[in-house]
Amino acid sequence: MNALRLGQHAAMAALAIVTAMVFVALYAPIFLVALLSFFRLRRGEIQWDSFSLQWYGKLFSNEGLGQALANSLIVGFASVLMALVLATLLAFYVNARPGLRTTILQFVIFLPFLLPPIITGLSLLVFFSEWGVSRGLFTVSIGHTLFVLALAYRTILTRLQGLSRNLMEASQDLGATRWQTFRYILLPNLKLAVVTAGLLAFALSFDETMITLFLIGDTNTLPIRLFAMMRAGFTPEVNALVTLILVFSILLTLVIARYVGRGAIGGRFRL
Amino acid sequence: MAQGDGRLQIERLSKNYGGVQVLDAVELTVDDGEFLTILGPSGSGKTTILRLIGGFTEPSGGRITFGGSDVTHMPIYRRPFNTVFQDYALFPHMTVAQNVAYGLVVRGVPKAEITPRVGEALAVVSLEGFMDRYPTQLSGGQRQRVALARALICQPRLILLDEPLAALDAELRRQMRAFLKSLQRQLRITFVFVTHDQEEAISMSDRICVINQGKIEQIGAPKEIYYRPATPFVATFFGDNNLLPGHLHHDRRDTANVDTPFGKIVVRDPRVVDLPANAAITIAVRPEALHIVAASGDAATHDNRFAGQVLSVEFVGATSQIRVAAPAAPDHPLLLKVPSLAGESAVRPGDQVTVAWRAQDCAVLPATLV
Repeated sequence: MNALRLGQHAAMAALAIVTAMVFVALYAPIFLVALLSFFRLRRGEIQWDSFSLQWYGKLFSNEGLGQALANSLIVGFASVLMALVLATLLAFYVNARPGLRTTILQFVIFLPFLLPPIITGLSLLVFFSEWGVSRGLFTVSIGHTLFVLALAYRTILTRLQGLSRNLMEASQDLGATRWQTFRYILLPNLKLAVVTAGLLAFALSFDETMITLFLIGDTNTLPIRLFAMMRAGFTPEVNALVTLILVFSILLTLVIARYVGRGAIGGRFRL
Repeated sequence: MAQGDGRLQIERLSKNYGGVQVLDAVELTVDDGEFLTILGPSGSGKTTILRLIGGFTEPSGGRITFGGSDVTHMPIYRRPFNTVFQDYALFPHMTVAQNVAYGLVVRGVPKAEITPRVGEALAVVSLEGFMDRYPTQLSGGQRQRVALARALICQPRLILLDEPLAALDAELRRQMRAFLKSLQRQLRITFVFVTHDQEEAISMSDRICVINQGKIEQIGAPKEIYYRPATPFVATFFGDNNLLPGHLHHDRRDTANVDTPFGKIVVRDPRVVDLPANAAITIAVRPEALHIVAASGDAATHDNRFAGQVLSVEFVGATSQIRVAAPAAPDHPLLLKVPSLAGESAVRPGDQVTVAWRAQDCAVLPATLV
């Protein structure tokens, strides 16, 4: 009896240790980067008396970096907006008339997501140069839209299919026109899915590098800029930048968690 | 539309799904204020009729008129009908009050008018205190009543109910049955009620329309359907029935002799008059109409009798089910249902008994058994 309990305790302890190690392996490097953005490292030891915000200062005086961040945000918003509109329309279409044609359509939607980004990027590059479209934020936005479309589409379609068809019929049965049904029933129930899809798509777009590399031309997004900075040699500025991105990501995650966790689809429907 | 002009008429209504005939030239009239039940097994096409009336599906052929005007192709939202769906289809993102108000809001009814009417509608279904709850916070029975209030608030001339009690437990179903029936009487709204539950149909309806494989088998009052089934399907769909094949003999008014494997049987059914002499027919006799009598019993009260052997006795609570086979038709035992009374001298398998029944308990179906 006692031996058994002892064995259980030992197993639990082992499990706890493994879990702790996984967490350390996952988060220690990130934590270290954050630390190194504030403190200096000398001979493998952190100088605790060297706290300064100088790298953040350098970061903000680095105009190229600011521009790259702005570009990333522009591309992110543009591609998320286009992907959400397209994904919503496609999800409605596929949901309304399932069949062979929509199965093929789905395949086409998923393809850019499943293909190696290098293929997608290269294909788009060839396509744009053949058509004489000069590379820049516009071409990158198109590339990102293609890339995140599958994710947005899948998220919205799942929710749409989860909605009972009876809800739409009940709405019309109670005297609502198609537009009113869309506005009062469908949209409020899809809102959460659309917001979730948007946030996920934004996260994908924000750190997309490979496709961007082919389509960016002579300007920069944040990951491209970061890549370039690393090539020139490691500077603590990079640590500061990574830390900022980390904080931003955590905030974004909190927003998502709060939104989803609240479970409120909070229709604006009023009596 | 003048009051009393709310007759629903269905003419030669058909529906195919990809070559499969789901409904075949259905003819049905529902009177204003009537409680009509469409009854059939699953896949019989009963829900399809309801969906065609509601406008959720386009018919392949035929016409639907209401109060004299054609509604066959009228958009759902313009039809003066409302539906109570099987899964209630309450809007999950709206409170009870918002759900109930929906039909008025989308029609642009002024807010000052909506609030009191929502209160009234919820009072009818005794859910006044539940205005601010969400559907997920309600029990099945409460959701059912919200769905009803939501339909009633639109003041429809006709309500379509698609197996609304199917998801409720037995006790709640009994309560809701009585409630629906009294509500329908009180409001004088036409109810078209779809179910596969024959007990539900019999206890609530003014008339029942029995449908099978896309065709109407019989339309009639519950007692008519029960005692005078038109087809073997109807005879066996409503509880148990003994079906005996036979030939009609010696037609005189509504009483006739029929040659069966059990010998000559006297039947009394008004429908006999319309049948040709010597027609092949089927007799349906309810198990509860058969009695075990003393061999030398009074022949005047029982027109038909035969001697047979008890095959099995099964106690099922209120009744005992007894199977008796006649020597002339050993493969065709008859089923009897007798009240189980304590202390009653029991019949045992192997006993020789005399089974008797009255001529008027025989229903004559103008059809042969398949």
